[in-house]
Amino acid sequence: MSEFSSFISRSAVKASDDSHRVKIAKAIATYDSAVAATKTSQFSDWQAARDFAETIKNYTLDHLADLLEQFESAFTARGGKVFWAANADDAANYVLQLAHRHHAQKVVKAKSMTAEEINLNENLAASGVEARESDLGELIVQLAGEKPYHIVTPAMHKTKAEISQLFQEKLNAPPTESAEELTMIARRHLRQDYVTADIGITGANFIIAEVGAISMTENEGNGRLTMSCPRVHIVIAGIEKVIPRLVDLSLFLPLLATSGTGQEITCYNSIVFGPRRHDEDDGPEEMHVILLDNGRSQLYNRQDFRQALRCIRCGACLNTCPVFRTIGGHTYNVTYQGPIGAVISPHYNGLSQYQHLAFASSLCGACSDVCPVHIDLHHLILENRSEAVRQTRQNPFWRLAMQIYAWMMRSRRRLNMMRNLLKIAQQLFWRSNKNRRKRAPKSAAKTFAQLWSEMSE
Amino acid sequence: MNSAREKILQNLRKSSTAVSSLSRLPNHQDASIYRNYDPARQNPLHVFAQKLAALKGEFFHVADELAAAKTLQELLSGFSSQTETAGAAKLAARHRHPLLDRIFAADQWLNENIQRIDRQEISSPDFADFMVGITAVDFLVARTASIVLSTATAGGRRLSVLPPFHIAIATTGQFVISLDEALKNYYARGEANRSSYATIITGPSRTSDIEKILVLGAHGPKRLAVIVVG
Repeated sequence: MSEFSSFISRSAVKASDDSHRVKIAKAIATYDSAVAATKTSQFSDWQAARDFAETIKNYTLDHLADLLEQFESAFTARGGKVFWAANADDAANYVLQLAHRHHAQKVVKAKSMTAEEINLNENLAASGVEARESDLGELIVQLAGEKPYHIVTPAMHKTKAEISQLFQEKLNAPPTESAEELTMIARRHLRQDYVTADIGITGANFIIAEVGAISMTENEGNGRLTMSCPRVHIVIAGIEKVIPRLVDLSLFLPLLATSGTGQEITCYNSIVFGPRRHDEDDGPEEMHVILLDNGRSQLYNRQDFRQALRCIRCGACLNTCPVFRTIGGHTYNVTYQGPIGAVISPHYNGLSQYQHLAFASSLCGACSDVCPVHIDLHHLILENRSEAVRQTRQNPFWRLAMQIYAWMMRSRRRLNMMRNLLKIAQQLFWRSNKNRRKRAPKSAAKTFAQLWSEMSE
Repeated sequence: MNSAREKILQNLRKSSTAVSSLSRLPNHQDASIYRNYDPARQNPLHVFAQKLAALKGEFFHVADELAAAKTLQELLSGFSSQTETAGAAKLAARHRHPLLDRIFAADQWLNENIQRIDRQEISSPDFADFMVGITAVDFLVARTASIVLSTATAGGRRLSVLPPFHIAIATTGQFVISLDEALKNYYARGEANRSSYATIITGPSRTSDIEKILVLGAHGPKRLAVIVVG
């Protein structure tokens, strides 16, 4: 089955799954009220904050190559290692090499979408290295054998009861209906992993060019433990994650927290300048930053699409999207779901297979309205759609249909005739489909054109 | 140096078209974007205390180092009876730092009961036994009730995150109004080349990954107490 037809069938299932709707609606309602409150309590001018962020990111993109080099030289001067990965395989292979060199049996991972992008867990497992997800949401989906449902809230689709069931089966935990008790089960389960893992792997929310550091945002503390205890720390970051200066974090951290979870600033924001220094008590002996391209530099050279690289992965566009709310995150079957996914996935994963994502949108523009860095998401989705159409125009049937349509639209008389034919066809269609969930709509006795001409008389 | 490097950089330099017309970066003018800026400037301690309480952190303002020692002892005494019954667990650890040294010098009980980590190798599993980690800080950010730590002021990376209770001790002189000020000062002082790691902590560890229900103490400390001296 093609990616497209399986997308359609998954959508149909999810769209009519009432319990799924209830779960997602509840989670997003909580998110919505937190975001609305924080926007007004934290910012005196949210629009000005967005404009400022856009300005800084645009400047960054214009100087991206220089800033990446600046990061590299400052970071390597402190003993850090930088690896440039052209694609997902190169990045995964580099991690495997490191795991092999350090005889690693077990790695502990903080939440990272770039790690998902390069299928790191599967790659590590194939080499006999166990990867332990330490973020609570990631742990839940890993135990369930699923992919993250949402780039920020990986287990948004699971209820307490479902998680308890999962913990009973996989962790021999006692049954409980309390979110607190479930969290403590995860805490106890992972406690020893931080101190016994050979390698810690995290993503990065920002690459800070000026000082040669990476910054990571979280609430739980699993990221801090992952970069504090193991002997080796590996960071996987997209090349677009750059900000020019350390002080730029003072804008981007509140912006990301507000749009991501409705917090003023998340609980922990770590800035890592390199591996353990000779005069320090602890920290990893080695630190590697993998700079991942994987289609980004191609997107960069598309004048219209470059703005998509401003994305800070807050997930706001997913939460507001009526399509995401209806079909859910897994239906997309890509690393990045929702509107931003519909924009970038076809370019990262192949337009021929993923062009249908451009049609999984009502083009309502809600995503562009909420985007904290002002990405014109719905126009970029439209752009992908037009590209997809240009490709399918090769199809002779489609071409013929469009020619008939154009011919019909050029005359009022032909249009009226076609309308009457379609009315009959519509009734026939409903009669032949008795099992539909909807009843046949009644068409009006008179058409708008008829009413209009009567009124004008 | 790998071959992909040149290819990626070349790709990024292919098009000369710029999206922005800026020739240099704008400055951060915090006050114009954020609320709570003016109250934080007028009374940083008050705003910090209020915000931290809302985040379920504990706040103590004490007059001097002697009073700080007393507050610390009170916070730890509850734990000390727990550790005696638990047996294996160790009470608390702190590191070498002028402010902490002065506070501990003032109190015999603290000196006898709290282990000082002094550039000695303690393996992570042993570290996990400590109930409380006591550290100094670099900055207190009034507007968001954040504390900024670096490895130099916090005795490394683990002490402030592995034990389930983190007590941070600061002085009123360490207050800044907003995050941009903290980061500007951090950079200007050259701290980036003195510590391999810094973290901005805002409240105790938390998660809302399960049905968006807030739970404290996900993986980091369940309790965070900030003691401000002066």
